[in-house]
Amino acid sequence: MCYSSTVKKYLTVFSLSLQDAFSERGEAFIWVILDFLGPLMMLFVFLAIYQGGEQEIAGFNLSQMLTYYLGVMIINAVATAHSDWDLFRLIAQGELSNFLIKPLGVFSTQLLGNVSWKILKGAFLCPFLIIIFFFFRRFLTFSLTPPLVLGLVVSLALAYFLYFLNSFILGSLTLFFEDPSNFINLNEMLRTLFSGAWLPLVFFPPFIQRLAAFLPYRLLYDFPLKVMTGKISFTDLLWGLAWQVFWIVALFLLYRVIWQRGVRRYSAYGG
Amino acid sequence: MKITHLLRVYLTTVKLCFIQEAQYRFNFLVGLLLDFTHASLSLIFLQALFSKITAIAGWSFYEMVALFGVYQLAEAISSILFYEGLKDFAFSIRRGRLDLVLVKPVNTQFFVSTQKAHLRDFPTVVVGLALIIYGLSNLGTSFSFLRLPLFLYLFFLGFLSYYALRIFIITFNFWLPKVHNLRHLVHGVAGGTRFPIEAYGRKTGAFLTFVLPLAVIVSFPTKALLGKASFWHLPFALMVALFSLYLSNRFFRFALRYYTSAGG
Repeated sequence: MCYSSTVKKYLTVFSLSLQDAFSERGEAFIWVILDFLGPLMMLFVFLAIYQGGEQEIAGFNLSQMLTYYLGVMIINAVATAHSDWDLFRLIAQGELSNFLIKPLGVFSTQLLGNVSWKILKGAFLCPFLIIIFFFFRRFLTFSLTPPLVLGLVVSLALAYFLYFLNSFILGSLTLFFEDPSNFINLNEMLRTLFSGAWLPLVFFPPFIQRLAAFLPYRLLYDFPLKVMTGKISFTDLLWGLAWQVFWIVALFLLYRVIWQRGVRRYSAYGG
Repeated sequence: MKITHLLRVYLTTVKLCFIQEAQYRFNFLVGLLLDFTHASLSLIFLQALFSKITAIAGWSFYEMVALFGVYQLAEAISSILFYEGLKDFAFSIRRGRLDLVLVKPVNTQFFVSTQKAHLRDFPTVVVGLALIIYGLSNLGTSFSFLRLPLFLYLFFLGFLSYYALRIFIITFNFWLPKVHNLRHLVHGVAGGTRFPIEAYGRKTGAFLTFVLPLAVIVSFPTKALLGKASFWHLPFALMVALFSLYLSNRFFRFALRYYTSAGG
């Protein structure tokens, strides 16, 4: 198969996914509001705490803490994926058959679909970020060097792929279990606790921080946010990126095993 | 429509939902355990936060634990009573299934709100109560049981206001049937009540008390428990609950006129 027809396939699916995302722009807008509300509340809470007399909390000054939660808003909108529930619905309702016979695999279709939603959500997030910058401008300072900016962009892209693989694998469990929602919810809890999305990991007891170091969840939020707040050395940045690549490769191999075995057992009925 | 009739309909709904949920017993039990664990994460969050600070806008750790407990309780009861019923509201409108509800001899808003009970959230009620008791018992001041009637009064009114907010937001599905996540917006907005209104600053706090009165849902009842309620909270909460219920009901009935069936 020649190269240009392969690229054309991907571009066609991406174009269709983008059109589909735009047709659901109302829903995308609500998701952006939801991604924005949680960190916004934490912004207010920490502003109140710092205005109560604290100069530095867990090594974060006010500017760094506010930047941290701005970063959580950005990651929520552009570096998350929810293929777990999409796949659950596709497989449970027998609609997976439709995708299995297409020339582009389910994985690629889901990935392109997610990317198109990220583009739309990123566009919707911009006005909210402008409003936040305006209201909190007195407190915000940025100290990113060019290598850190590049490192940040790369870490966000890798965090997205990691998030996507994690959610795709969980959704694939529907091929083995009729209802994997408990696994998906358990994963969400672990992610909440170990990723740093709620609170920087330094707030948690040492044993949780040690456990988080072995799990991939911290690479979704904690690591990119350390880069964003400038609280990371160049060496640690490179190590973090290497860990992200390691987990992407490991999860990709796991997805291949689960998917190939799962599709062999898949059956759907009806027209 | 008699209250006894509505109560009978609701109890039948709860019984059917329990039978449905208990069909897959292991899944049900695992779900209960996960919901219990999820609700308990809030205590871990608070402990982690307060390991580095001493107060949030003058609220101590145990006062915050009580606040989180009241929030969990309100969320859990609301979820048990209304979540599942309103979850598929957008689908019902889009696929014309609301027809089946409109022809039933029950108030449409009531039936749509309560047609399914989400019993799996019962552990969250237990967690909420446990957090409240844990917070109050460690405050270091004596607790007067005379605060309980005031708390129950304000909690009930706050709960009614929360219900009215849910109905108001999901009513927009009549015009936006493709937007399935409006119900999540309710959680997102109500999530702000997990923190004391004082944490949002003077202007935002005033907005959240007098314009979008989220303060009545969790902050007012918690202050009653802590002995910090002001006298004006009582009539104000009653006014907010009655007005928001009236407004949400009128809005729902107005929106029903725009519903068009999708056919058979």
